[in-house]
Parts: sequence; structure tokens; C-alpha cells
Amino acid sequence: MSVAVAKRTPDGQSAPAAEHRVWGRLIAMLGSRGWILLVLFLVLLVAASIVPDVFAPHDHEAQNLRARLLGPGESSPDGLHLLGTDSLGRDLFSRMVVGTRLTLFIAVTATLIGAGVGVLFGLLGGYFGGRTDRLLMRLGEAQTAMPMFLVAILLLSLLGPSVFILLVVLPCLVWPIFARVVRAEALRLREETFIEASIATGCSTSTILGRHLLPNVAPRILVLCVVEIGHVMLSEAGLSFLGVGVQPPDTTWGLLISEGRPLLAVAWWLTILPGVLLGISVLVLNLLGRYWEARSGAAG
Amino acid sequence: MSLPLLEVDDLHVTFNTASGPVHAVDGVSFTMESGDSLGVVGESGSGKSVTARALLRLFAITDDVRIAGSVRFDGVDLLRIDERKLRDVRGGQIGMIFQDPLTSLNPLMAVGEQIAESLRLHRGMGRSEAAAEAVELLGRVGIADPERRATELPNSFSGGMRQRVMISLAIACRPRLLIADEPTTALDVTVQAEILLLLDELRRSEQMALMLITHDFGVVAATCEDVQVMYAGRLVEKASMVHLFDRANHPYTEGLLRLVPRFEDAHTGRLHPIAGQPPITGGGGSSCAFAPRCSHAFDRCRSEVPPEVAVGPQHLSACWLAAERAKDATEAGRPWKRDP
Amino acid sequence: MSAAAARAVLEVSDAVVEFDTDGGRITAVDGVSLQLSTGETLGLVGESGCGKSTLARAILQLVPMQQGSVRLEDTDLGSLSPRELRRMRHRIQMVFQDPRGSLDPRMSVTALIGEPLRVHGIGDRASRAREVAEAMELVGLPALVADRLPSELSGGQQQRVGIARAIVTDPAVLVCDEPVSALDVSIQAQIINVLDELRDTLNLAMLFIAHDLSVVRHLSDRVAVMYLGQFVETGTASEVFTEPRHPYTQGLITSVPRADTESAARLQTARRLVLGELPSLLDPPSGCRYRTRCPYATDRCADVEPPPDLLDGHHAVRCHHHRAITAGEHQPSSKSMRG
Repeated sequence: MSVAVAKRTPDGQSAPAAEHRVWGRLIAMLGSRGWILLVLFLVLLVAASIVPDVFAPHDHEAQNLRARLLGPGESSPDGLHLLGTDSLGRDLFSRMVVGTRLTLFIAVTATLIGAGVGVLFGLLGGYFGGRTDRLLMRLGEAQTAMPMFLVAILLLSLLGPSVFILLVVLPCLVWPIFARVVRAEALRLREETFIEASIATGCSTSTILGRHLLPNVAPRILVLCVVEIGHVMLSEAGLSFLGVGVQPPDTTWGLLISEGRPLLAVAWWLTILPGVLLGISVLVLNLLGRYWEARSGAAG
Repeated sequence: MSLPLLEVDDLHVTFNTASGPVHAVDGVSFTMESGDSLGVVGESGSGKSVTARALLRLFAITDDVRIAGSVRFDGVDLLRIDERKLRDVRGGQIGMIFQDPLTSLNPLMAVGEQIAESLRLHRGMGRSEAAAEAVELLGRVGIADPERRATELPNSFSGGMRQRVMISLAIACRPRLLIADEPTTALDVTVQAEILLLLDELRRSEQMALMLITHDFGVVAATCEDVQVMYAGRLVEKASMVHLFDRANHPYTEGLLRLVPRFEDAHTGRLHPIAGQPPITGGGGSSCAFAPRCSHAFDRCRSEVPPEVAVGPQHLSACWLAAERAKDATEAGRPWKRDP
Repeated sequence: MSAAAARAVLEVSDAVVEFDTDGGRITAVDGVSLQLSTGETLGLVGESGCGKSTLARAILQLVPMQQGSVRLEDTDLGSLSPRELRRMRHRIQMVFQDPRGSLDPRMSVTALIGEPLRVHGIGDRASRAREVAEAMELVGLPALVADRLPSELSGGQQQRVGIARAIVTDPAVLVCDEPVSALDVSIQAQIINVLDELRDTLNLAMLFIAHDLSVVRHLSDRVAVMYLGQFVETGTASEVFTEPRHPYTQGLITSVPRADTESAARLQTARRLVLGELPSLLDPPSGCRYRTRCPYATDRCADVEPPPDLLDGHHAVRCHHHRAITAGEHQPSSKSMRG
């Protein structure tokens, strides 16, 4: 009577198992202290964006036509160019350091805006249900169904590229994700007795949403934020790469990749190295988010 | 001479958890003969359910569990046979029913089919023979119109009827031992009464032994002749039910018996709760696990594990004061009963 | 009767609660009236699906009532605006069945107990802290758990927090919905004693809902037995428990397994008093709700719904035949003689 054996599965989604397994293995590789390395990397990024001068060995805008397209490790009269120089002889490492600020700023701000909208809609939809919920979720679905990346390109090429427009377009890409996750949590929590208990206590709706629902979904939101910052970073790089994102003289990693692309055959480092930095950053954010999620899931 | 049907000797079950090992069962020994009815009483965490599951090694794959000791069923040590042979015992010679029948039934399979499947598997019946027997079994556990209901899915049955289905599944292969783990805890009292009577009748008609695990002495009183009380993974008292009512010896048993508001009494002041709470980490210490909650505890209770002492015919109590208390009980009558 | 009604802090008249389910509309509470006075406990017993929890939620206005009224200290709760109702809530509080689930997992013990005070703007920060400490002491929570989260408490402590939160605003009425059924037996007695003491010290009117008859018997002054949305028998605890008149009440009481030597024999009797299965609320029986399971049922029971028959005092029974049954003049019909 094998049916009698209680099969306890760890609660949670059985979702894309293969993808989960890859992340699971990566997280397992981190061990119990690996996350410190990840955090250290992020701290470096944040520090570079606050005080780039400390990290950048050269002036990122200083051109030197005699030191054009130096490979990584070569030196010019100005000194060592750790990651080489571009076609105008500007130090690539310094440009990457300086580009960190705008890259992070756009990614974080856009994610927070998207999170704000998504959390609000998710909470309202999940808690009230019914018509409010249907309306908000249809909105999210409609937007998910649209090729938002193309819409973003269209919008940016019509209105002209600017950081401001990026901060309008990029949140649109992420809010439905936040709304979906928060709504699912709110739906679950709404059925918990402690919500009924707070109604019986005399809490107003805003108190219930703000004091009881929000703090209980906050950990998931934070984790999601970390992961989504990476994704937004990637989207911004994509838009900048296509020339509809950040415009020179401002610079981001995406723009650096874009600028280096025509020279890929002669100066691979101009494209590959910013790309590697972007890739590592996205990976680190993803890993960290999932690591925290796994940890809190095990604890709760 | 004959071997007992079930002989559990020095059973230990230890779970390795993130917060260290938990000794859920800590040296439990008992025997059961065919036709015996044994109630195992304890609170959550006392190890009563784990004991039953350990007999059949029914643990989730994710549990990191270590079982020691021996469980001889019909002369065979169930802890030492391989998984394939154990599967024949599970649901074959030993049937088991749980508190929540719904989780033990396949929700997508008609109940008659589930019973028939078990019959084909364990009793080697043919398809049509098994189907007929399934209907017969459903009728025997008191399900009206069994032909029709055999074709229905589990969730079209009420809680009590589902437990009947579960019982018919458990007795399908004429087990020699039926283990019922809190079979009526989730049920209403009137339904509980019917299920308890059904279990009692089946035990007599099928000549099987019944091990009933519960937290409710009333349930034991209605269905079992013998009772053993568990606390923190150990047996603290073992006696015939009648004897236990008259001569509860262990302070924990006494506490359990008197803390339930007795139905016959009107409001007679406050209840007598047992202070504190049961340990959650199981047993395994070198003291009486009940000592922190016991008003009779003295130094020895905190430094040495009390052995099981015979305090009457078929009556064991694991308490350093057992002999003394047995003498008092003889003089004073029912110690747990409030003053007349 | 009139004197009791005048002092009643809670008065429910003819409450009807209907729900839409997948199978259709059901009437979970069907014309229930009750009164509760200060310092008095009304025990509400019945089996799952009888509507007792729904009635509690309707009294607290947590589910809408289709008919009837709830008067709390002479205010009709149904007539209040949502804001006025929220202000009224500190006068009637509830203790829930699931001690852990009813506490916000991210709030500390003091924050949980203090929340009703904060929400209702009672006192200032310092006085609230005092009231919380006082409530903790009343329910027997040690001060050292003040900053803990619910998950760090035992089940008994969690329920003590739930009770402290319910009494901290000094309510007139306390509704307890199965407050001990999720707890271990040795903890149940502790919690029952806490409720028992609070009722006396705070002079609470208490509605105590449970399926465990011995617990209800122990705590209640009066008892109402509920079946399929209706009260079938009401009276003082000793009337209902020692001289039950309704066949269902008799069956219910006999079904409780007691720890004595006649336990099995008593269950045999119970089996003859409660027949078959609980009918669906989607298709409730005509006339007397209990007739499909009653060994004494006659044609009249199917045709006419029995009105409450008031015996001496408060003892009311909803049965056509209870007087004849008590007098021994009405025997069970043959269908009760099965198996």
C-alpha cells in the first residue's frame, strides 16, 4: 500500500525544474560563506559609482591619439592601461569605472519604480480580488504580451533618447513581474487568520495592507528587486547598444559595448570586457537574490 | 509455545535535523498478541506516531532518520528486511490508517479501484474478483450502496465516509495487525463514535490486533483493553485500561486523566493543568523527561532515568516513586479522581 | 426573561447568513437568536458544518448577514458605516482557533497585543505599554517573551497572546471560536483556566464555541446546541447536559467517548440516536432539520417545522415529540434498528 506513505515535498513551486536545478547547483557551490564574495563585488560596484576617481587610474575623457587601441596590459606615456584603450586612446578601465554610476543608477531607479507600481497593484489586486484584480492583472498581461522592447525602441526613437525616457520605459518591463509575485502572496495571506483577526481588531484597510500584508511580502520583494536590477541592467545595455538608450558623452557599460562593436575584429577587448563585467554583475545579482530566497525559504 | 505477533524491543528513532538530533523514540519495548487491542496515548511530540511509523519504516525520503532496536513481526525483524519484502508487509499483513484519510487516498482514482488494486497486488486476485471484493469490503465498513460508491472519487465522500474507505483499504488484505494513528481526531463526535465501534467490531470479526494511537483516553477506553502512555519518546506507564483507571501510577498519567474536564461534573472550579509544556526535542537525556513538569520530582529524577517497574499485574510504571505511589493508590483509591 | 434581556450586552435576533457555494446557495445560519449578559458564558456546540463559526463571524460582522440584527450595547452593528463599525470593534473581540495563524508572523508579542490600543487610539505610548504588560500578566505570559515573534512561542503561549490581544481593549463581549482545539491536551486545560479567570475578573460576556462538549460544559452557564444552522436546544448547562431533551443533543452527548469502563456501551447507544449521514446544506430536509437522522421521526416531522418549545426557565427544545419521548410514550421507529 504505497499510497499510505506520506510524500512531503518541500513546499514551493515545482516550476521549471531544470532551470531551478542549475541555480540550485550554483548556490550549493557558494557554500555558507560564498555570498560574502558576491556582496563584496557589489560593494565595489557601488563604491566605484560613488567615488570613481579613487578607482579610475586615468581621466576617462582624456584622449591620446598616440595611445589608440592599446591592448590590455600595454602602457602609454600616461602609464599602464590595465584593460587597454579605445579608438581615441581613452583608458577603458577608467571608462568602465565611470560608466558604473549611470549603469547602476538607471538599473536601480527603474527597478524601484517598477517595484513600487507592481507592489501597489499586486497588493490591491490580491487583497480586494474581484473586479480590481481582474482589471490590474489584464493590464499586466496585455503589457507582457506586447513586445515591450520594441515598443521601447519605438518610443525612444520617436521622443529622442534620454535617461528620463529610460526611467519611464524600463519600469514598464518589470512591474508586471512584481505585481504577479505580490498578488500571489497577498492572495495567500488574505486567507490567513491573522488578516481576519486584524479586521476583527478594527484595523482599517490601509493598516492591513501597510502593516500586515506589506511586511509579510517584503522579503520576497527585496529578493526580486536584486534579481530584477540585473535584468534591467541588461535591458538598458540592450537599448544603449541599439543606440536608443544612453547617449554620449554620458556612458554606461551597454554604451561601451556598443561603441566597441565596430572594432570587434581589431580590438576585441572594447566589446568583450564591458560585456564580461555586465555578465558577471547580472550573474552575481541573480545568485545573491536566489541565495537569499533559498535561505529564507528554509528558515520560514 | 508461540511467538508473540509483534515484539518491539528497545526501539530508538532519531531524526537528524538542522538543529541537531531529535530522539523521537527512546528505547520503547512492548509486545502484542493476535486479537490484542492496545491504545498508545501521548501528546504531540511524545513519539507515539513515530513509533508506529518506525514499525513499517514509513518516513518521508527527505527525513534523515536512524532506527535502532528490533521489531519482530511474526518472528521476522521488520527493521532488517529489504524494502521490497517490507512492501508486502505494508498493507498486506499490517494495515495502517491515518488521521487525514484524504492524503492517503489517490484523489484521481475511484475508491473501489484503489481497493481492488491493493487486492490484486497483495492477494493475487483477478480483475473482476478484486472489483467484487472491493464492493463487498465497502459494504462491510458501513458504506451504503457500495456498488455505486465504489466508482466515485475520494473527495465525493464526507470525512467519516472517507475514513471508512481508508479502513476498508487497510483491512482489504486481512492484516493481522491494524495500526490506527489518530483515526478520529479530525472527525465529529457522532462520526467518531461510529468509526470507533467499527474498528472494535472489525478487530473481533477479523481476528486482528489493533494498535490505536491517540491523545484521548476516552477513545482508548471505548476500543482498547490495554493502554500505554508515552512521554518524550519513552513509555511511562503500561497497564490494562480498567486497571489504569483505578490505579494510574505515573504522575504524568495521573495528570492527563485529571486535566480533562470530566463530563459528569458541572463547573467545579478551575481545572488542574500540568504546568509547562512537553519537550520538543524528544528524549535522550539522562533524567526523567517529565521531571521539570512533575510536582513530585526530587533529585534522583533529574539525574537518572527511572526504569519500568511492575506495580501490579501487567502494570508497569517508569517512575522512581512507582512502588510508593502504588501502595498509596491501593489505600486511597483512584488518586486522579477529584474528591467526591 | 425581561430582566435578562434588559441587561443583555449582546443581542442577536433572527440572524440569517447565506453563502454562494459551487453547488448553489446555502443557508449556513438560519434564524438564530441569542442574548448574552455581562459575566455570562454561552456555550455553542455542534458538529462541523452546523454554522457555529459562521454565526460567530456574523456577530462580529466579518461575514454579511442577509437578515436579522446584532445589537452590541444597544447599538445595531448592521446599521453602522464601515468607519463607525471599526470604532465599535474594541467592544467585541475574538479569539481564534489557530493560535499561530491568527498572529502576524512578523510582529513581536508586545506589538501584537498593543495593536488594538494603537488602532483605536487608546492612551499614549507609555500607557499602552503599561496596558500591554498588564494584559500579558493577566493571561500568564512571562515578560521575557515580550520581544519574541509568534514562531518563537509554544502553541499555548501563542494562544495566550491571542487572548491578551482580545482583552487589552477591555471589551464587553469576547467571542472564542474553538480556542483550545488546536492545542495539546495538557495545554488545553491551562488555556481554559485563563479564560475562566478572565471572565470572572473582567466581567466579560463570553460566547464560547467548541465541538468538545466537556470543555463547553466546564465553562458555560448556558448552552445552545446547533444543527444545520439552527438552535435545536438551548438552556442552562445543567439542563442541556443532564436532561437533554432533543434526540440530537442526546446523541451528541452520548457520543463523547469518556474515560471509563462503560465507554463502549455508551457508543452503542449513541449509534441508535444519530442515524446515517449529515444531510447537505444544499438540500436541507423539510420540516425538522434533524428528522432524517432521528430515530423518533414521524410524518409530522417532515411536514411541520417544530417551533422552539419553552420548558421551565430558559430550556427550549425544537422537537415535536420531546415531551412524549421523555414520558416514554413515543418509541423509536423501526429504521433505527439497523445494524
